[in-house]
Amino acid sequence: MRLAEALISALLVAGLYATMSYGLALIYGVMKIINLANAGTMMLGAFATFVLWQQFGIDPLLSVLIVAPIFFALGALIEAAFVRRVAGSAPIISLLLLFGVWLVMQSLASLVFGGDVRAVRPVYVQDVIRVGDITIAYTRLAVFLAGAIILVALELFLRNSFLGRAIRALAQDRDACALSGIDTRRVSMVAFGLGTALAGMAGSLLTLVFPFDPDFGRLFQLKSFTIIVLGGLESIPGIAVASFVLALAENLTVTLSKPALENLVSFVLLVVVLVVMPGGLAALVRRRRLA
Amino acid sequence: MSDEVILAGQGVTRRFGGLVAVNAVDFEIRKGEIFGLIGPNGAGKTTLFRLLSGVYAPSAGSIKLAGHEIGGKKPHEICALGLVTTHQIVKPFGEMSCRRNVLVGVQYGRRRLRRAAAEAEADRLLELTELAPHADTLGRALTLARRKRVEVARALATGPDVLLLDEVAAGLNPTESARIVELIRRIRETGVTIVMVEHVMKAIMALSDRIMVMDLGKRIALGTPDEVARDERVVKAYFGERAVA
Amino acid sequence: MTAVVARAQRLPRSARIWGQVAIVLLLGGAIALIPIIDERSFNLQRLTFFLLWYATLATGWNIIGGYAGQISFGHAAFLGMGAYTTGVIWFTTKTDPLLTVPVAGAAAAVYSVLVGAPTLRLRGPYFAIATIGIGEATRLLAVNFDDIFGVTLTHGVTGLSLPNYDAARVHYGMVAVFIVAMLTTIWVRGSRFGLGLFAINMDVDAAETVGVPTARLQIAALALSAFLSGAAGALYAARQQFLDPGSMFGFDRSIALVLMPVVGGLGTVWGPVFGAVLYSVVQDQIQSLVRNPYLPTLIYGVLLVLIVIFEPLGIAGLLSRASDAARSLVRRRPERVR
Repeated sequence: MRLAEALISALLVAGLYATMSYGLALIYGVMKIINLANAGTMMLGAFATFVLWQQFGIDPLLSVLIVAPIFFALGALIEAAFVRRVAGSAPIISLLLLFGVWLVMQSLASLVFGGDVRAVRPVYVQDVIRVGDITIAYTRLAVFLAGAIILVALELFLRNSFLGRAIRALAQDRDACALSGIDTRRVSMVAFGLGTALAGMAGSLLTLVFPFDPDFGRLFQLKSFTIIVLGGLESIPGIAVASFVLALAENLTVTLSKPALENLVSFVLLVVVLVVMPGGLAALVRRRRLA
Repeated sequence: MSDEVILAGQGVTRRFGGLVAVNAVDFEIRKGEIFGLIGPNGAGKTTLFRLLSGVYAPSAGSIKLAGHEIGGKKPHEICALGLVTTHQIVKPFGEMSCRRNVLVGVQYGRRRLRRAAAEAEADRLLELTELAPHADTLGRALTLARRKRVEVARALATGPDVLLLDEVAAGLNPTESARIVELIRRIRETGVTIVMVEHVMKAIMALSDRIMVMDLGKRIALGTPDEVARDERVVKAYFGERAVA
Repeated sequence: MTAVVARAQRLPRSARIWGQVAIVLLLGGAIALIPIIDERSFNLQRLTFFLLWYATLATGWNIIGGYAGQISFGHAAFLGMGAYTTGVIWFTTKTDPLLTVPVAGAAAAVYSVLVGAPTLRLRGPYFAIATIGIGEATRLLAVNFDDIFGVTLTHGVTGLSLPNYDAARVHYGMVAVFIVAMLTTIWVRGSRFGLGLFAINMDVDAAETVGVPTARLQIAALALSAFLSGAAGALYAARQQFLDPGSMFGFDRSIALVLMPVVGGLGTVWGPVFGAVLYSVVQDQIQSLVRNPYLPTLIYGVLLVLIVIFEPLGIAGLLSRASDAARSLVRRRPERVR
């Protein structure tokens, strides 16, 4: 039964992981840059949710809806004000730029909220659902469902709307899009906004499951990165599976050995993918060579 | 030109998943010749070049450079054995001057020259490629035509026996293109074997001693420019069935 | 990184190199004199020690990050590896810590090759993010080492308390290591090795094509970089006589190691030194002025964004622009293509 519980628990966390990772993958797909500020955005999303809950008593699950448009605007702004200016430079330039943005986010949050670890604890935080011998925390289930709904909605948007299709087209061939009259700058801005909104929503959801402080994003950055390397970029199913694999590996590490090592898992997994099965990365490398 | 074979492929094959991009291609390239490689889009020319230069490893078959197997070796190892390529999308080192661009080739190629000799050699190559006036210009500040010549100079700087030229005339105007043709002739006179992929037919027909035609990953013809131009399968591949009938 | 070799080289190569060597020796010599002139100048000694310490770390980072263009967000791992190597040897065998400096550097270099060999297969941004993992994994290793292996070496989170050591000798040791770091970076910058690293920085594929053994060179650059970081770590152990995983392997350290060379001037010889000066001043002065631990980070973040957008060569770039402007006031020079 412990295995079943571990599997379910991993599945539920995976919903959250997938939400945060997909923002990273979306921005990478369209703009070919790694958004190092992704973790900072998540952290801000968590704090925004914290404020909404503390000041106005808004439930974190509800505040997702408030956070999404605000963070979409924030992302679009960051793209238009900063990222656009370094388009076409070496990839590390944009990396350093977004690293700077991350530092700014982190220090601003520290200045405003201090360095304490926070948590959002609505009344239902202790509730569990029992299915036979298995107990499932209500919050985890809710977070999983919310993450799943967000990703499905996003997928529908990307497949069916004009803008969504433009985003997918841009991820495949930027030059061809520019030639066929798609406004690549606007689409990039929307993609960056969407990615940022996803990270913000992931931050909202996360408040129900994990405690957080202004510095917490680093590990989640690494986790997201491991997930997109494992699962392949630009594919929701791949990212979902990879999220599950990572969550399960972490879960088993905690159960079978030391809880302190949980955070080592993503790095070890990353190195294992690179060393033992470079095939998992082959697609990535090949894409870079052809580019 | 001699009859000595410098670069030979046997059954060279490369698959990507289910797609066979290069399918059991054989060729023998003689020392000192200019060997042209043509074919419609998707024929496998660029893939074959990448197999020769080490970007891809062949799925099957062997590639021998002066008797050494080079299939599956890394690009820098192949360069050390005497085969070097230019890139279809030119890649000069943007923040380096032309001279330093060429210097990288001189210092990391087959000739381990001391600093002073290396600089002199770089200057000689800039002279050869008519880039001497731009020796101190940064790579990213150059025009396309000059970037292409930096690309050639840098490759030549490694001291190759075989030089692969991937569409060096593409995107150039007729004057620039004529100058590149002239440059390729000068390079051949120094004894370097040249293998070139080119879409500019005028350039390749005028330059090549022999031409290999590829279509759908296979070799469909090999011969002098005249023979190839008259070959029925070549005409068919380029213009479709009806043109032959 | 992009704008690396851009600024013109006005003097002949050898004159430029010897000039830089002379500056390094003069600077090092002057700082070495401080404890001799005034034995009790503790404050100044502390300030200059950390100035050289940061400069050494930034210079080390610059070899892989600035020259080869592989940004590392995990360099604290190599710093800490060196510090702990010296700490543990000193603690267990009572060896003079200054004698262990090369060992500490070597340990960091070996460690960097072990973790770098798989991660350097990743390009640009991917390597950078993997290094976040290297840093974090190493910190966790330091915390849990004793538990995992059932020995008492790192003393986990409690930290490793070390014996007392003569402050003046540490000072001289730091000057020596700084000089070694600067001579190394000057040599690399002008050498065939450095040329290969710049080529990799600009285009790995093109570099590989013209014979640059890109994988080998990157690992060599990482090892050299880690060696200098580890050596600096050893001196930290000797000076502070206390090591704990948080202050050695913390992400803040890694951030500082990125900030200094980037703000100072990526891929330049003196940029990391400028960055280190700025960093120590900000750490030392602003911190005590406003008493807010988060404000400096905010300043660095804003600075980083501005520099990346407006002057990728950082302080070194600004200085070079200023000197260009001054020159053109003196006499009109032929136009240079930038």
